[in-house]
Amino acid sequence: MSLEIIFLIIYFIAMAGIGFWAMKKGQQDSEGFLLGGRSIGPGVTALRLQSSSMSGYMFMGAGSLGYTQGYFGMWYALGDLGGGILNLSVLGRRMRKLSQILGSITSIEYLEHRYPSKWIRLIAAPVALFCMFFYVLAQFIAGGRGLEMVTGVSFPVALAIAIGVIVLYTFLGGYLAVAYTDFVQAIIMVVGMVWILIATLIAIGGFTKGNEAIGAINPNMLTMWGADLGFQGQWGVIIGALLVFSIGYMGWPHVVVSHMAMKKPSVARTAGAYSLIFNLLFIPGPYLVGMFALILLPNLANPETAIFEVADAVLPTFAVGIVMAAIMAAIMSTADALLLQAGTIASQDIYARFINKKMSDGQMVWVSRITVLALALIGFAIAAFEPPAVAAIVIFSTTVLGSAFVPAYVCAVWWKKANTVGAISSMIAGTAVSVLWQVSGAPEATGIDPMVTGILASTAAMIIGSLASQANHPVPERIVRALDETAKIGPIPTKMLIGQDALLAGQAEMAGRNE
Amino acid sequence: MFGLPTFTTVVILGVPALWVIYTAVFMWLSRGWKREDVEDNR
Repeated sequence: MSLEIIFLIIYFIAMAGIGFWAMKKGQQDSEGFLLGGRSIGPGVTALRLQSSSMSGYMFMGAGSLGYTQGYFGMWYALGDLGGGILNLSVLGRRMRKLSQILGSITSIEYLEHRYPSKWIRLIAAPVALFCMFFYVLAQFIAGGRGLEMVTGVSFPVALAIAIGVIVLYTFLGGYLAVAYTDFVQAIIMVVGMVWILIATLIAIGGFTKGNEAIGAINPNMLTMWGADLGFQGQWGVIIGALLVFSIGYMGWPHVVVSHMAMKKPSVARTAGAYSLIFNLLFIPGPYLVGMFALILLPNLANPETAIFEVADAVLPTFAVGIVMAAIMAAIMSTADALLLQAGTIASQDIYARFINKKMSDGQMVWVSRITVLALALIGFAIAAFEPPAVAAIVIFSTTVLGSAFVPAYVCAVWWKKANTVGAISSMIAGTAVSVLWQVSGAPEATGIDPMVTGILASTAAMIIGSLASQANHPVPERIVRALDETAKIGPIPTKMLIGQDALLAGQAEMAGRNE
Repeated sequence: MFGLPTFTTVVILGVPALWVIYTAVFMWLSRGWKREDVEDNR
C-alpha cells in the first residue's frame, strides 16, 4: 500500500473520530443538532465558514482556470478573498441575533420567519435543494478524480468510494460534528496548499522566473484578460467573476447558517479577521499552482488535474499524501455542509413544515438521511456516466444561489420595509434571470455574467415588490420590533425571545393561522 | 514587477490591499461590540 493511501486512510479515520467526539459532546435537541446549540466561537465559525465555501473547485476548477487562462482566473480569487469578511461584517451579528429572536433553527426557516408566508419556504427550499444537488455533485466528481489519481483505480470505482466516505461521514450527523471537522479540515487545507505552492515556486526557480517562463509560452497569460485576450474590456464577465465568490456567499444557505450557530453575535467581529487571514493564505495558491503547471507539465490532457499532477511531480511521497488529504478536506468539508443542509431542508423545511407537522426528532433524522442517500445515488448515476466539468457546475449553482438569496438575506436584517412580496419576487426573479441568462447563451452574446444580471434582477424585484406592496402587506409589528432590537448593541431582552413574550407569541400564532 | 505587466501587478496587489483596509475599518467600527459580551457574561 502506498504512503499516499495510508495518509488518506489516517485522515478519514481522524475525521470520523472528530465527528464521533463532536456528536457525543453536542446537545440532542433540534437546536443542538442543527445549530450546535449556538455554541460556536470565532475560530471555528471563521474556518467552518471558509472551508465549507472553498470546495473541490479550488483544487480542480481554480487550477484549471489558472492553467488555461493564466492571471484572468485571479479575478475570481480577488473577489473570493473578501467573501468571508463581507459575509460576517454585513450579516454575521444581525443574523445571529434576529434568528434567535425569531426562534429560527434553519436558514430557510429563518427566511419564512422574517418574511411570514409559507410561500417563502415553498419557493426557497426547492431552489436551494436544486442548486445544492449540483454543487454537491461537483464535490463527488472532484473526490472521485482525486482518489482515481492517488489509488489508480477506475473513475467509477473511485467515485463510489469518495461518495461512500462522504455520505458515511455526514451520517455522523449534526452541525457540531460538521463545524469541528470543517475547522480541522480548513487547517489541513491551508497547510497543504501553502506547502504545494512553496514546492512549486522552488521547482520553477521563484515567482518572477515562473512568470517570465509563462510569458515565454504565452505572454497573454500574464494579463488579466485571458489566454487569447478574449476578456479584454469584458467588464460584465469580470464584475461577475468578482461578485460570485464575494457577495455571492451571502446567499448560500449552507454558509449563512454559520452566523446562526455563533456563540454570541459579537463572534462575527473576530471571525471576520480570522477569515481574511485564512483567505490570504489559501486562495491565491490554487490559481498560481495551476498556472505554473504549464511550465512543469505543459501537455496535460485534463487541466482539472493540474494541481494533483503538480503535487505528484514536486513533492516527496509522504507530502503528496498530506496534500491529497488537503484536497479531500476541501471536498469533504463542502460536501458535508451541503448534505447536512440539504437533509435539513428536506426534513425540517419541507417534510415537517408541510407534510408531517408532528414529526418526532427521530423521524426528522431519518428523512434527512434518506434525502442524503437519494442525492448520493442520483449524483453517482450522473457523475459515473457523464461527469460534467467541476468548475462549470460550481460556478453555475453558486451563481443561482447567490442571485436568488443575497437580497433576501441582506434586506432581512438591514431594511425594515423588506416584506414578503418583495422577498418572493426577489427569489423568483434572481433564480429565473440567472438560469435563463445562462442557458440561453446570453453571457457569450452580451459579455455579461449571469451573476450580474441575476443579482440586479433580484435586488430590483426586492425593492419594487416591497415598496409597491407596503399598503397591503406591511411588515408585521413583531418583526419591526425584532429588527429594532437587532440593530442595537446589547444582549437580547428575555421578553423578546419568541414564546417568552406574550405579544410576540400571540402575533406569531395569528400569523400562522392566517397563512 | 515580478515579471508581470503593470496592470496585473496593480490589480493582484491592490484588490487584496482593499480587503485588508475594509477589514481594518470593520474592526474599528465594531469595537463597541465588546459591550455586548460584557453584558452577556455578567
